[in-house]
Amino acid sequence: MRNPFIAGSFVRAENFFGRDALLREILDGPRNSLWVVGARRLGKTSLLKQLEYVAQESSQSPWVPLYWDIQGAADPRGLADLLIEAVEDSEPFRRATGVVADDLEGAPAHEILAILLRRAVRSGWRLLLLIDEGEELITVAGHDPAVLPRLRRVLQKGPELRAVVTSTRRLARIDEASPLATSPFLAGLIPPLYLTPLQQDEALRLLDRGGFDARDARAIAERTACHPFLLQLIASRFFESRDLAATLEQAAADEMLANFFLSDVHSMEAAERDLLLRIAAEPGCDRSALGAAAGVAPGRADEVLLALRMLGYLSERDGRWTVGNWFFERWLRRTPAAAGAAEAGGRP
Amino acid sequence: MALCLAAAAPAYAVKEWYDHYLEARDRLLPARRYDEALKSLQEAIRLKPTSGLNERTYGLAFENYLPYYQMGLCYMGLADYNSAIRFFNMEEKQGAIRRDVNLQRELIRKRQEAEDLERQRLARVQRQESDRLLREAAELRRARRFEDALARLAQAQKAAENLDVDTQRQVAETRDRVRAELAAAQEAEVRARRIEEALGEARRLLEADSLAEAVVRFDVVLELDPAHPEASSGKREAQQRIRASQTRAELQARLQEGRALLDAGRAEDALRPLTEAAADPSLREARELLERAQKTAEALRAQRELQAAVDARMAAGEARLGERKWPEAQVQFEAVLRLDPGNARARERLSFAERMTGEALFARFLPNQPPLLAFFEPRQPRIELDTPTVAVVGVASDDRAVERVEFVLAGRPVGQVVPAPRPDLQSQRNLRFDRVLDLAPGANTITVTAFDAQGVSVSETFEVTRRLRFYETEAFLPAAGAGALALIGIGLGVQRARRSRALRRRFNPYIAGAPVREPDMFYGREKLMARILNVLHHNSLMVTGERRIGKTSFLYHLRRRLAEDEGTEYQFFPVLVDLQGVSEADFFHSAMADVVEGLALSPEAAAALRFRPEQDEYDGRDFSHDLQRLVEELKKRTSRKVKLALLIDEVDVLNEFSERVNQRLRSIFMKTFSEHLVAVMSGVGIRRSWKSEGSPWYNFFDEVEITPLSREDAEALVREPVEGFFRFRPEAVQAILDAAGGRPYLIQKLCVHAVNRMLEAGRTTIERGDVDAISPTVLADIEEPAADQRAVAD
Repeated sequence: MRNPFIAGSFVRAENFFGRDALLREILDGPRNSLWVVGARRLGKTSLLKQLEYVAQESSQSPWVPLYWDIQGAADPRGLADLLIEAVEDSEPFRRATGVVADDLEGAPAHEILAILLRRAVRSGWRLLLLIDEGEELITVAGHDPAVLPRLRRVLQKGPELRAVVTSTRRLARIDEASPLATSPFLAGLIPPLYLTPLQQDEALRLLDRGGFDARDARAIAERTACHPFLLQLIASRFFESRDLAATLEQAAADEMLANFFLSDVHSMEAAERDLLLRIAAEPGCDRSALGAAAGVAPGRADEVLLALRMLGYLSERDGRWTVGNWFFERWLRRTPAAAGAAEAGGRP
Repeated sequence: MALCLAAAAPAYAVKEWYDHYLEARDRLLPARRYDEALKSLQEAIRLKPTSGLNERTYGLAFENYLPYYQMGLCYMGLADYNSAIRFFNMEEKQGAIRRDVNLQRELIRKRQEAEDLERQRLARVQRQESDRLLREAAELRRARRFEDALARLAQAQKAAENLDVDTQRQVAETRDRVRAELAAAQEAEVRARRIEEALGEARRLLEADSLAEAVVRFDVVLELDPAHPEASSGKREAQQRIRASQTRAELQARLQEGRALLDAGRAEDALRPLTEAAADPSLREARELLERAQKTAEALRAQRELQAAVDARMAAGEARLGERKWPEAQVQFEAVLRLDPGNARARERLSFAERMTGEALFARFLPNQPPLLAFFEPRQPRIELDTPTVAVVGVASDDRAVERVEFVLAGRPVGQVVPAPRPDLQSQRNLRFDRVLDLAPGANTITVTAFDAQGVSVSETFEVTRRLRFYETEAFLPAAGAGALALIGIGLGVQRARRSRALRRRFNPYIAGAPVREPDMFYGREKLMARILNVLHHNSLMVTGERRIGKTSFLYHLRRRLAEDEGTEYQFFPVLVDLQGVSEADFFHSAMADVVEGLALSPEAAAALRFRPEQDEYDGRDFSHDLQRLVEELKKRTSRKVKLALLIDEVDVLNEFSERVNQRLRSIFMKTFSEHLVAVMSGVGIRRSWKSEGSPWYNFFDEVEITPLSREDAEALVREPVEGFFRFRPEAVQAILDAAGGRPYLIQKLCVHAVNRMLEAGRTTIERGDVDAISPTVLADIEEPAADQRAVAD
């Protein structure tokens, strides 16, 4: 049997595990503008790809999906080009709506969206717009702040359009940068939905693909805290080596993982980093000690702790806080200086 | 001339899959010649079982090949909607049609239409069946054959399940009435029988002067029929005779005996003494105790009879199940549950009988179809092979359940495939099989037979001719023996001649500088190769390692191994993309040039791309567009899952490019068609600094480090290339290994120079002195690898 695990690329269809409630909420819930927040490598792209897959495969679905990856757009023109490219890439979408990509050339993104929506509705569909790498909008807005209100107007046209934006929490800063006196871009998108690590049973079902011993599978789930990327990475390597202890040790010292964690820590705010480092230094500490130690106001501390827990950076049991997973904790303990250096403001 | 044409005719007469398919689709189906169209389509499927879009037919003609869909249309024409639905489902399962939304919609529409028509047909049949069963039940009821009537009603209830509420209510009410009549009839029968039995017994006991026992029996009769004249007079007579035969004291003693027995819970034993005592009207207590005893005894009797009735009904139900009389069994188990509502086994058996009643009825509405067989291998009914085995791969499907698939080779069963039991206890309608069968030399007849759950079968036969390789023929052994003797003699001479020729021609196989492309000169890396082959179908990788560690050579050999990889469901199309010297502006164009060249595209396929060899404007969007077209083109080359493998060398060049270009490259791997795309990047390292919003471009690669060769591999690289020509002294090998530290480039370079020095000296053995003499110069030429790595550090 070849290695069944997929570490890095997006997954969908039979390779996608869990997230049933989130998929249901997005496809069948009442909201037509949704923002899904997830840390890096937690499966945001896979979630969107699975939504695209489910909508395309179901003969009952009213949705015609369009996956729009906006990373690298940089400016409003780039944003429009990537939207046209998304249409060009999706033959099912073009077939369903009769849209010809060449007809869209030259139009700004919000106008293209309005055209796509009209064509979808005229063909008897509702448009499910799946926007990946949403934080790119910060860069785009830096070039032309007016692009955000225009986009917002189209994105909130429901009920014929359902827009799902995925990003890290960085997108929360988008309205800070806008000099325009219009409604905040995120107004219709909040509260966000959080993309959390997998549930234990979902993780074990995924690990079942490797035919591992139940004890090993539980150990992997526990060490990775069911973080999907770490699960797949460790399972893939363990599948090759068949030596779990060595695999875990090697992964804990792996430069790639170190960069992954460093990149995460750099994306945090100072208060978040402080709390994280504090918890790494003193695992199992309680809530009161944390707020005081990190010098964060009590209301704000609760907010930060909740966000870090939802994103899988922290976990909490009986009021005691620990770092989200064993690898992250090891890295934080090993390189607190690197983590702390992020305070200087640079990115990896 | 005429003879020549006649001889050539069979060649012209051979039809391809598309001849059959197009004949059916374009001629027979529009002419409503459905049976003939079905035959043509079956022949097309036999020749090409896999559906596809834009399949090449003849010349440059491309057609959508959807034979199962067309068969579905034929069956709709024949009003066999159930078969039509099956074939529409099979077409959908093939997957090709799902790539074209309009075609898929049409399939869904047609299937919906077939389902509606099938529902209407079923409703009509069910209505007729339900009416017929109700009529039969009414006749049986009139004939007072209530149980037979209930069996018909059980079927009628199943038949009416999908009909209107009124019909269902009519069936239910009729059944309740028949049940009530059956219960009344059975009760009357039991009562009459008990009266008769008890009366007969009482008469006998009276005559035999067993007076108390006779009274007990008369009481049973009177309990069932209080006005029964004979029982009343008989009882009176027996009581008078008791009183006449026993003194009051004796009757008093009988009372005490009866009381004691009743108190001890022996009600039935107490009946006789209490009956005797009660014959004296003055013994009022005796009468009261007797009533108590009678009630208790009656309850015990009823309990025993109930248990006996339950056992009898259960046995009858099981017997009906054994006879496959499901509705009759159902009636028996329902009767058990009326007697004993908590009987779990009866409930379980009733549920089974109900299901089988429904299935039997369903089988009448939808007659069982024979299974279907579709083959992926062999692709032709007659094939010739020179391998000792043949793979038989395909799928059996059935409208009920596939029970097994059997393989018969030359009239002898050689195996079978049975479906694994499913946890949900549902039957398996599709069964995939994949068998490798041993072939005898010459002609082999292979028959594959699929059986459904009702024993209906379908067979396909293949004629496979195995041609013998030379070493398998009878002439091989004598020829090989003679050849071996000659070879030993010649071998020694050749060895000597080869060495002197190698010396004369200055034979030096080592390669220093250029990547190693020859498989014979590529050493080690097997473990790394196996790991990459094992994960590459799902994952993209970054191969890192110091300069000149052999990354480019590794990519060349990975390309070869991927192209030869036959063991899985994936077909790799590996292409090498060399980024050395590529500028940012030219990145996507240059990469596509390598891809186009590596895939050896036909002019038509190349024309469908945006890429042109001489072109200024070609960006990431064009690159993405063309990759998508290429994936579609590659799907036409194989029936396996396509994986276009981009083996990108000198990826460190990307470190110098803007993040936007890197992001564009990343975004291509996020597109849906990238499920058919994998990459192996090779370079010294990845730039980790990242300023943009969004994900770093490299974060979907798992990294694999390429390390120096192991000692064994390094030694093999030193010795084996010159084996049979020259010899290495062991200390010379050791010196090279020590100096090179497992770096293949350095080993090759040291070997090149050491062999050259040996050749200059006219020797055929490399000495330690050769290595010592060339090492300082060679090592001085080698760049410091750490310096390169520093160049790409953050």
